Amino acid sequence: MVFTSLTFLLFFTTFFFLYWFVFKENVTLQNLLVLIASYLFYSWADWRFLSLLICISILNYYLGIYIEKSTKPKIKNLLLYVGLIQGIGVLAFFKYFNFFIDSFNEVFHALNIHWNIHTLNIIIPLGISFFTFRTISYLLDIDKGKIHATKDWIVFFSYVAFFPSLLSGPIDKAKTLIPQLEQKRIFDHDSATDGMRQILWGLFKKLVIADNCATITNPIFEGHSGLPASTLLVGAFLYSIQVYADFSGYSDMAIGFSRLIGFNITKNFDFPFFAQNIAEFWRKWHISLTSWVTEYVFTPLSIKFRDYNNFGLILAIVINLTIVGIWHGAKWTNIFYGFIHGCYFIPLIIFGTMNKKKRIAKDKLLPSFREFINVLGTFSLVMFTFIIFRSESVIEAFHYYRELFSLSIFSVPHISSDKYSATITVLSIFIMFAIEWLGREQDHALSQFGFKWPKPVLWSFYYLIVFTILVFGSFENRQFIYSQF
Amino acid sequence: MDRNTVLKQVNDIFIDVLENKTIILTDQTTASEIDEWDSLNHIHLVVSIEKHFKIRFTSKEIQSWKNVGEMINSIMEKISP
Amino acid sequence: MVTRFLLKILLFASPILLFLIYAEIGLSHVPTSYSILKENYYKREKELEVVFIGASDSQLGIAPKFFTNHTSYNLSNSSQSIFTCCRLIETNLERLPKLKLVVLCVSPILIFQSSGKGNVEQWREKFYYHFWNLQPEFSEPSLLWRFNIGLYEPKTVLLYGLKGYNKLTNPLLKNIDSLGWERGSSDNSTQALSNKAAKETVKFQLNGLETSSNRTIGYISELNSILKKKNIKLILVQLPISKYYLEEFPSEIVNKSKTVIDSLTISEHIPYYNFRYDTIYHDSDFRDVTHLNYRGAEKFSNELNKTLQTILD
Repeated sequence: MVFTSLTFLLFFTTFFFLYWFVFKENVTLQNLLVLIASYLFYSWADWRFLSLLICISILNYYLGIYIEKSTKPKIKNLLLYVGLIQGIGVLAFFKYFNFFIDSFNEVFHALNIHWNIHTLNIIIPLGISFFTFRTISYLLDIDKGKIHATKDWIVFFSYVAFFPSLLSGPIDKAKTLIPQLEQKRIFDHDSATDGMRQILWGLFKKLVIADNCATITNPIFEGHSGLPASTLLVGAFLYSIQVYADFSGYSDMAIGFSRLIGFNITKNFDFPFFAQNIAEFWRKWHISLTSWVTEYVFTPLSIKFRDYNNFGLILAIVINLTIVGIWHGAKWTNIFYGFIHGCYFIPLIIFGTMNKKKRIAKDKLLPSFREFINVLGTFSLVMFTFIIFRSESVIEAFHYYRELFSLSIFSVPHISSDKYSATITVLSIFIMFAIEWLGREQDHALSQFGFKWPKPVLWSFYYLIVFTILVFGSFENRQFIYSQF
Repeated sequence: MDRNTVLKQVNDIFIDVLENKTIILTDQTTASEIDEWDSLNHIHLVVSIEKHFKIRFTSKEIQSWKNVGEMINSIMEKISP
Repeated sequence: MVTRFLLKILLFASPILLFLIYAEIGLSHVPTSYSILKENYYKREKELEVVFIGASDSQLGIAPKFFTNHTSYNLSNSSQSIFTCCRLIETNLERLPKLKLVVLCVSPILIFQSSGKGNVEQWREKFYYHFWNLQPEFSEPSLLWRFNIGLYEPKTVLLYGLKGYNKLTNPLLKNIDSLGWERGSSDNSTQALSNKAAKETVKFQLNGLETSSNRTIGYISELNSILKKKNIKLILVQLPISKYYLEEFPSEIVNKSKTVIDSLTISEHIPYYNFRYDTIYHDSDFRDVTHLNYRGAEKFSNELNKTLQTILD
């Protein structure tokens, strides 16, 4: 059940009525409804792993309670390790097992040892990277005393399986979502209306931008040999936009739907393509994942390495971003994707410019020339890594890079889709960035857009977006890129 | 050394490391209130405090602080046995 | 609070909803080849003894009105896959009490039809799902397909809402008679019948063909075993085709499909009649390189009639 399907619309409408009209007086019943809806939502996509989701919830629920209860540090640590091993173990088994076997086999082969371990035919449970990170953060936060273990199993199970963000995030930390589940929700008219705006914007980004970009980028990445460098550049450029529009569009919808049922879940994107350096980019891109790894990987590592000054920091950050890369799946392309980003930080750390926070074009309409160059430079660095992110293998990515840096860059790009739809795609990208630029200080692009206009004009603007989605949107039932992670 | 002196000295370290003269710390101050205080500068702050007071925190201690007050408590425990 | 919010959303959505209702009603009056074939089929379900099924070659090439001894119907349609043909027969068996014979028209490109990505005809699954309630072979069915607005691109729905939905009606539909035969016009030009045209058609058809035929052959033998239980015969037929096409079509694919069909007919005892190389058909019998026109269809139907008589009597 993708957010863009009619099935989801009916599912959510039914849920909405039950939630606000039938069960509104009782928090526990409301949570039970959230839980049942989440399990239904999950089974719709893939019922085979529902039992896994439930087992993981049961185990972590009890681990949380006993970690908090136990007074002996040894037992506390033991329980925590059980939880961590379960979380990382499940991830490792489903997502990384075959990768390790393949790598071992290659090493053995290189050493001339004839010992072939067989890989398993593993199907990856949907959303596993997302819900595993939730349970891990829950246990770690209890261990550090940042939160209390919840004794309400419905609350905890709903936290693990919360349907708006179950399959592709944002990854909510326990301290954000659990207190909201424990409290009585009050319907906030303004927040819900804003949620609707955010959903509308998410739909626009997904159906108009991302899916139309995909029709151009897919053929380029699937058969790039022999194409001129200029085409490859267009491919890399549009793919970068596509990933952003796809994933941030999805996140906008997830956040919007959550707001309709009275939850404020973690923000996932803060207009990353307006970032002026890589550090700022990562503070704005997939925020729920980066803040997760910053808290549970980077901070402990940097504390451990704190006596080695900048070298320690560099090491911590490269490890940190490599883990961000691996999180996307066990492929060398993902590892390199993270590693390259880690390396991008090195000059920033050495020159101490990493955390100089400066808002771009504050109180101004346009950025300064310098700011513009910074944005362009950051975008190019990011675009460079999306090539390897999209490629099937590292070798394929290297071919792409080699062909990209050739003289044929000075030629007219060759695009498979017709002129009309290519123009529409470029124009809609331009409009998207213009609107996002004007709303860059807000939570999402439409949050304040056009508020000074008279109501009928504003409504006409919203109708125009609906119209654009219907006419120019691509409705081939394309999956979201991040639903595979 | 009493608690207020420690707080004052920590305040000076913050001003120094974060290059922001307007910082005034209280026990309740948290990282979200000071723009420059992020995960990276946090490490610089810890290292400077350790050097200044000639003490050594454990990883767990550092990660358990929720506000400046708890940080001062950890320092007090180490310098006044 | 919630009520106020809902009223506001409803107010915003009401023009859109009204338009969608208007579009749904408008589109439900647009005839398609699927709806016409189904309607006429169900009108005759109680009396039918023979059903012809296949893709466009048999839709244009077999005219049931020439089969005077038995009531028959042609359920072929453009690019109808073997999967669809088999399922259409299987799911409607209960409705046809008198059915004695199913004639499945095959060709190499249907036998080796691509699955998944290379298949440009996949969109038709929507229509079979909507009109025949047929579960699709490749795509995930969407609830939207239950509605007429789900069958077309949103922009088509929107733009034709302004032009009038009756403009969507395919003019060729009036050539389909009440027994399912589409009358192909005979005014063929030299362009439609030439090696150049054949070359282009073949190139288009070969795109994405599969090397294995296990999938499609599986459907045929499944259909055969179902029909056997009901004492209904199944025969395979390959229609005549123009000499231009025969010259351009790669012979190795023809040979491969011959091997596959031969082994199927032997193991499953399915009679097979191949008219592909029949020399009695001339340029004047073809509408284009792959399809017979109405003269050719009459000629072929009479020819086929003789064959069927021997089977049915």
